[in-house]
Amino acid sequence: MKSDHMMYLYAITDQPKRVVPPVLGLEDVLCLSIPYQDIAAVVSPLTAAKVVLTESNLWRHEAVVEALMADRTVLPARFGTVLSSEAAVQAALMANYADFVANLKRVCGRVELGLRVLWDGGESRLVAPDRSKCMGRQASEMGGRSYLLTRLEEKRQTQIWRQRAEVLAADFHLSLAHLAAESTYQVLVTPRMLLVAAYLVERDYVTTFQQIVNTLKTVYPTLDLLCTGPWPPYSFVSAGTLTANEKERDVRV
Amino acid sequence: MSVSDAQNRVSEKVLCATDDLEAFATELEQAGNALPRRVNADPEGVERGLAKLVLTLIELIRQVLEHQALQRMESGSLSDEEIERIGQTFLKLDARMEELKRAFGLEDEDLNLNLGPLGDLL
Repeated sequence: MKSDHMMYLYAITDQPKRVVPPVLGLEDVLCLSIPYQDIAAVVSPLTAAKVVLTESNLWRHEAVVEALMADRTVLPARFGTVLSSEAAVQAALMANYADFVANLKRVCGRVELGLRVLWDGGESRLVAPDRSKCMGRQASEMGGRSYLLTRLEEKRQTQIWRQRAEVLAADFHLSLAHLAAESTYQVLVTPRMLLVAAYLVERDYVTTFQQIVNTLKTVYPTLDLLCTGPWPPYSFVSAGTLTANEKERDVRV
Repeated sequence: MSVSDAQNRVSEKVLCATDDLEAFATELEQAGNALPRRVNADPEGVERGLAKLVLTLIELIRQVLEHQALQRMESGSLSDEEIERIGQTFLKLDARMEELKRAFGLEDEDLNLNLGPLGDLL
């Protein structure tokens, strides 16, 4: 008999017959698998109307996905993905089956590694005209031409600073991207955050990846690096929204 | 795996890092704060939320116009008189924006909108 409980979704897996590890999900409930053809959704019943974003809940979600990742391929669901019932999960699996299978093939045998690089944006940034000083003056004291020239110089300096960041970030990224099946990267998410990147790599390449990062750390001693993983491939799942029920909320994986 | 086990595994997840992990935490927090830029629609914050949205749009228009003005100045298509007049206009607009930001307790970083995969508006 199907449950009418709301279902919290942790992941889609490629092992519908394999037993779900005895791991507690949200609300301290054991997880269960809802199979559909050769895939399955791993869920746990939920009584609360809303999943609160807390550190504890995030870790619980992560713990379940990691336990699954140990012996199967997973498409991790975004935290907070809730479907209205077991039937809704079934419908979602059916509606998105092709997407899920394609994504499972893409990430099979691979893990996500994350890289963050900080530079000293304050010092590295070329000295730009102090706009606040200009703004502190009355319009009558500062000519219109002076204002525009100040802004022009500021734009030039910012452009040079950004170009330096992009060259440096590309150097890092290209040193690692060849090891990855896929990768994503963003430059200057904040002025200090030079690079935020994620790499989808074969499990066997993790050590090599780590060695290259260590080399980069030596080559660029003034930069701060943080390389983490292996993670479930959160950044590389592109399945469409589970639209079996229009009332479902936030059910993209 | 229990929650505490998972938390203990954090250190295992760090493959390579420099000493100053606090700096990463700070920057990630900043980046996180920048992401969910939404209008605050609760009754008490709605005025500030709307001011933030409106000022962001004004700032976008101001930046586009200023960019055009700077390009025209660089290309030499503006007379000295026009440069002075346009510069004064932007200077006053900038000063007025500063006043409005102060009035609503907003910083430069607040005037932005995250457009998802397209990145930030400004």
